[in-house]
Amino acid sequence: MFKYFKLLGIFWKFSVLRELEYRANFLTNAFMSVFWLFWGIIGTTIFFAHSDTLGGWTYEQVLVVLGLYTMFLGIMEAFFRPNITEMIEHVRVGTFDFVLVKPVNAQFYASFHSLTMWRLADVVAGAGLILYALRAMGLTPTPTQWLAFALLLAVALILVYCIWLGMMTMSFWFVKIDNFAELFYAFYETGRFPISVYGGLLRAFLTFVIPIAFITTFPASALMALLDPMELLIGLGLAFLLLGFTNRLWRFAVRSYASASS
Amino acid sequence: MAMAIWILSASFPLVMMAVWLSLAQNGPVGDFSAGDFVGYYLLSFYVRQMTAVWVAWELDYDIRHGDLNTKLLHPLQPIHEYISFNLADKAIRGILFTPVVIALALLLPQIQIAPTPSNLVFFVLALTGAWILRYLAQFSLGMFTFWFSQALVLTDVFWMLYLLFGGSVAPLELLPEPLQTIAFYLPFRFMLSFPVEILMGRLTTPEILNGMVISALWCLGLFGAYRLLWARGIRHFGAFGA
Repeated sequence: MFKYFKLLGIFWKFSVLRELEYRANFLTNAFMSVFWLFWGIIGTTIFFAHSDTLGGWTYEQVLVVLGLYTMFLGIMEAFFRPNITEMIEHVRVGTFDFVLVKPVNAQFYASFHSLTMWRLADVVAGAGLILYALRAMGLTPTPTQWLAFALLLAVALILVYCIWLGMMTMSFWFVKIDNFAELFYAFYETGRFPISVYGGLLRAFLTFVIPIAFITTFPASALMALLDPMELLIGLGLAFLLLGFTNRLWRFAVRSYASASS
Repeated sequence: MAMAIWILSASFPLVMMAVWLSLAQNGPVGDFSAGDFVGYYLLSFYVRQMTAVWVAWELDYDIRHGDLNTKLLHPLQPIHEYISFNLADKAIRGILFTPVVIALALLLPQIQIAPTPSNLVFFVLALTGAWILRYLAQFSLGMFTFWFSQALVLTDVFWMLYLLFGGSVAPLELLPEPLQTIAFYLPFRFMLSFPVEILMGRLTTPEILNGMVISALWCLGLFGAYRLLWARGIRHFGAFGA
């Protein structure tokens, strides 16, 4: 276990060192994070020019959801996107064999080998927006609410990891899976707004099939005393199930992997 | 397969439509009923598909990898080659989507559009104008790769402004001030919203003609920008790896 933390430190250190060579990237990414955030806020105000609530949520409450949306966008782009890109290349060229022969768990290596540090700017921007919105509402969450929030954040992180691991696993069968990532982002787009905005089937789909609601809406509810404890329980159950399932799927895929050109 | 996913993933307007529909449940928003929103986003989906442009990414790749060298040796300016690929894609998308959009417009009775013969002619003209504007704008932005390696950021910023001021986040009529006035002075309206407004029957003939003139002026302006940037850029271009 300790070995893996140490390895993680080494992987990330090398990723960071590699990126420090391109400092202009940092400036453009920071600029884009801020621009994108303001753009999202302006977009939200347009809807509130015509209504006081959106799916029963006030303007500031929707901003908290937008903050979580931005944070998780940053997390996915920083931690998962670079690894899926490498994975596609490994499977396509056949160098995934070298990952398998390394004396570490191949899933760990494939999932966490690279990091795009600059995209963490989105995480900072999103967290800033959440704190701003809480302050604007004059809300100070109680310790229990913070705890529920922390638990739901952990659930969201696990769910996001499972989704990306699932997509990575698909690369064994359909090499060009960067399109899958685009398709997932198409659904993720709905996470800008609270889940109550969407009607019937779409809402059920976004809660249980592609659980976007657990990534942005429910952690936001936890901070603002809008959470139904059942949602927390369902979230924990869903995270547990999905983690078990995607891990199995990965192991199954690795067993049937026959390298390129063989 | 790849193309199907790219098309599906143009989900942003669908999400915006879902949010507007949730607002339109208890009566119309401004001048828009629920059926108007569906019609508006259906048409804007069609306009977006038929004006899709990705030349900035091609240019960025070709300039940074030096593939532009080969293209410069051809007897025609490289823009012709890029355009011909884009037009081939438009032919496929046209065959795919024109029947789908017509069928949906006929099947969903609540959709309000006004496909009179004159509106249809104006729509096709405005659609062509929208494609020309998007193409020239993206080509011009893509050429900044001649000077900075991070130039694609400009395309991203442009894209966000297009979504906001072109009428994808909201129909331009529903933008609050001062955004609505700003949108009126920017070219983005003519890249998306203008053809949609025409086919929805929301513009009078003088308004349409007036829009056509402004759109043509933007086309000229962007063509000038393209010529200028190309002349300067090509002189600056040192051919990577040469």
